[in-house]
Amino acid sequence: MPLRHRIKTNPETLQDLELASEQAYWAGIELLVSGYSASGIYLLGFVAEMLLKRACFLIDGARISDGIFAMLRSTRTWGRQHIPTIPFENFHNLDFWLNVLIIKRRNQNRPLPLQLEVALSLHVKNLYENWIVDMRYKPEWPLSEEEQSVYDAITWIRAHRYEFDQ
Amino acid sequence: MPIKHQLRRTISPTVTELTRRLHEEWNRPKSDGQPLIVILNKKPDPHHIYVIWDEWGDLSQQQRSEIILDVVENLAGESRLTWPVSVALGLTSEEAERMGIEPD
Repeated sequence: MPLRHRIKTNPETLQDLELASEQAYWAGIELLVSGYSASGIYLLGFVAEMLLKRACFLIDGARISDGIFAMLRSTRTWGRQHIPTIPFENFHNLDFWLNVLIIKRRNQNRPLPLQLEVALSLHVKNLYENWIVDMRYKPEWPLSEEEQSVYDAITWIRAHRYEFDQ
Repeated sequence: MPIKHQLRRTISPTVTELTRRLHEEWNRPKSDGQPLIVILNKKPDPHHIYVIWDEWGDLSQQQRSEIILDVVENLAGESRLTWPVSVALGLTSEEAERMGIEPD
């Protein structure tokens, strides 16, 4: 079955986000160390996006085999009501997903431990400042400190990914 | 036309049969053959479970995962998993080979 057909016949699930984020993380690191900074950063931003979405959906009680399409749409609706000032950016705003995670956990009376929340917020903010999905059609030559900031942030987020939904 | 507010979920005979057989295999594993259950113990991270089985056939990835999770959630006694699972993938042997998943 051709790849395109495989993708179309198997909608993304929560566990796909975990597996795809691992693939993208290591591919992104390879690109960084090979000198393809912009492409590496582009992929690593998606890693954060996938891990934040995964955590948001799991704390809502989703199963790892659940498809994410409906959850994305319902989160957009939730966002319009609860965090209307944060743009949705067509599902790609890292700051949006960070706020969904933090606020939903607080609303469920199980906020992230303070130290974890502060560190996560800091790393997502660093990524937000150095990544945007619009990079896909723009040639870029990131500075080494931007590259380092992205690497540090995403490596921390990946290392703590299972703590966000506990 | 009447409006109803409840759905009755129909489970296909294939799903029921594969669920039953996987549950049986999990509790009384054969020495060889399929389904082959691979549990990657990644503590402190959650487990990854792969079930390699050519009888998955035309079932979607999502259906296969649901079967595995249904079985895992209904395990009892010594078979019961006490650690969280973050990946439960059902693969045919061809798919497993493509993904580079081979048990030791």
